[in-house]
Amino acid sequence: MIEFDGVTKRYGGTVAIDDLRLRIPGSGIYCLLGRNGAGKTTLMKLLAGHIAATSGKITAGGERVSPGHMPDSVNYIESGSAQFNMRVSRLIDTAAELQENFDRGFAREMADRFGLDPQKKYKQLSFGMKTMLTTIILLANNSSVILLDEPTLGFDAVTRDQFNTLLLESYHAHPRVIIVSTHLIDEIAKAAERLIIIKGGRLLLEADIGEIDEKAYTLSGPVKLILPLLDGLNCVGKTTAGSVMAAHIYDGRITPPEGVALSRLSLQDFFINIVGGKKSE
Amino acid sequence: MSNAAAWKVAKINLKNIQIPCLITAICVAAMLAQTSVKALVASGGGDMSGQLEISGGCFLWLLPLLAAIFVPAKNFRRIVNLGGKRGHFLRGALMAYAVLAAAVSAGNMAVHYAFDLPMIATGYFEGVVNLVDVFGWTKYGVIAAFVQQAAFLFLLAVFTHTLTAAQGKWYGLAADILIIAVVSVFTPIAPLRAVLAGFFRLILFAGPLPQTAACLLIAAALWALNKPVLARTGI
Repeated sequence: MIEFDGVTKRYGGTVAIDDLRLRIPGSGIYCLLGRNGAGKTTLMKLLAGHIAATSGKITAGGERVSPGHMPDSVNYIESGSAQFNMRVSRLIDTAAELQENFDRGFAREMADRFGLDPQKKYKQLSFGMKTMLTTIILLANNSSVILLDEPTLGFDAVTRDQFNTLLLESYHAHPRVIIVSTHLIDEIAKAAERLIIIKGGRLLLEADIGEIDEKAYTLSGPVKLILPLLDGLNCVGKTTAGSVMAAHIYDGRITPPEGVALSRLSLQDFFINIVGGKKSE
Repeated sequence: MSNAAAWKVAKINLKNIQIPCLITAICVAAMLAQTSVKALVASGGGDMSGQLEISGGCFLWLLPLLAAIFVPAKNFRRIVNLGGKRGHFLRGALMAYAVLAAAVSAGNMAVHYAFDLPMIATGYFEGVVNLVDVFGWTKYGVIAAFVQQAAFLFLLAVFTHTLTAAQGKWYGLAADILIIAVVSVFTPIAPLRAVLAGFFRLILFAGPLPQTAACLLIAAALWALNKPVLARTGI
C-alpha cells in the first residue's frame, strides 16, 4: 500500500505538492494525470525517495520513504535522466547487477522486440529509443511499485501501441502497482485501470477509469433545455455557441429530454474540462 | 545492507572513471616521456645537471583525486537511475577509493623504484622528485611507504568526495568558506600556524603507524558526514 499523508513539497517559494493526501491500496495500473507543472514528477520523486518532502509522511509497503531511506519496493527512473554511455546490452547487465529483482531475460527479450540494437551506445540511441530502454529497465524490475514518468515520450503511434501491450504483459506477469504519468490519456486508458488527477499539487480526482467512462458524458442542445438539467448535476465544463450549449457532466446518467443529445465524453475531454476549466461561454 | 551490492557499485564506479583515467595517463606519460627525453639528451652530451625533475609517478595521485570528483558529481545519479541505492552507492564509493588508493600507491612505488631511482643513478639530473620521498615515507621501507601513501590518498579521496557531494548546498558553501578561513587565518598567526602545521605533520610525517591511523580515522570521520549529506541530495 502507498500512502501520502499531508505531504507538501516546496522548491523555494514554489509549492509543487500541496498537502497531498492519497492512498493507493493495492496492485493495478494507475494513470497519473495533471497539466504541466501540476506536480506529477515531484510526486514520483517523493515516492521513490529521490527528494525529501518539506512536510508530511510518505509510506510504501509500510516503510517510511525519504532520501535517507529509498525503499527497495519502489523503482523509478526519471524520464530523460542521465545514463552511463554504455552499450544497450551492458546497460541492461549493469542494471541487473544493481537490482536484486531484475529480470534480465525479460529486459533482453523486450529490447529485442522493440528493435533496440544491443551494440549501440546509449548516446547513439534516438530520444524515443532512450525512453524505451529506460522503460524496459524499469519494467524488468520485479519490485512491487513501478513509477513510469512519461514513458512514451518520443514514441511513434505504433511503438506507443506496443508499449501498452508491454505494460499489460509486464503487469500480468508480475501484478503490482504501476503508476504511469502521461499526457496521452486516451491511449493509456487501454491499459490503465484507475486514474489519479492532480492539479496545483493537490489531488483532484482518484477514480476507476470504467467509472469515469460511465459517469462522464456530454449533454448538448439548446441552452434553454440544457440549463434546467444542470441543477443537481456535477457539471465540469460548458461550451456555448449562440443558443446551443454543450455541458460536460461527471455524475450519474440521466435520460435526456427530447431535443437534448447525450454523448460519451472522451477521457481526454473529461481531463481537459476537469483540470483546464474550459468555460468558453 | 549487503557488501556484495556495495562491491558491485564499486566495480561500476571503477569502470566508469574513464576521464580521470585519461587525464592521469596523459599527465604521467607526458612527465615520464619528458624525463626520458632529457636523459637521452644528457646521455648524448647535453647538460641537465642543474635540473630537478618531477617524477611522473606523482601525477598518478590525480586519479583518486579526480575520481572523487567524478563519482559523486556524475556517477551517483547514473547509478541511482539504474536502480542503485544510496547506501550501496556510499559504501561502493568508499570501496572504489580504497582500491584506487592502493593501486595508485603501488603504481607510484613501482615508478619510484623502476624509473626515478635509476634516473637519479645516471647522475644526469640534480634529482627526480617523488612525493613518497619528499614526505619521507620510503625511509621506513617499501611496504610502509606503500601503506602510508595509500592511507593518505584514501583520505584525500574521501575529503574530495565529501566536499564535492556537498557543493550546491548551504553546508557545502559553509565548508568552502571554513577551509578558506582556516588557511587564511591560521597561516599568518604563529600559534594557529603551529596547529595547522601539526595537523599536516600528523597526516604526512608522523611515521608509519600514527600517520596511517590518523589518515584512516579522519577519513572515517569525514565519511560519517557523507550519510546526512547524501540523504539531502536530490536526484
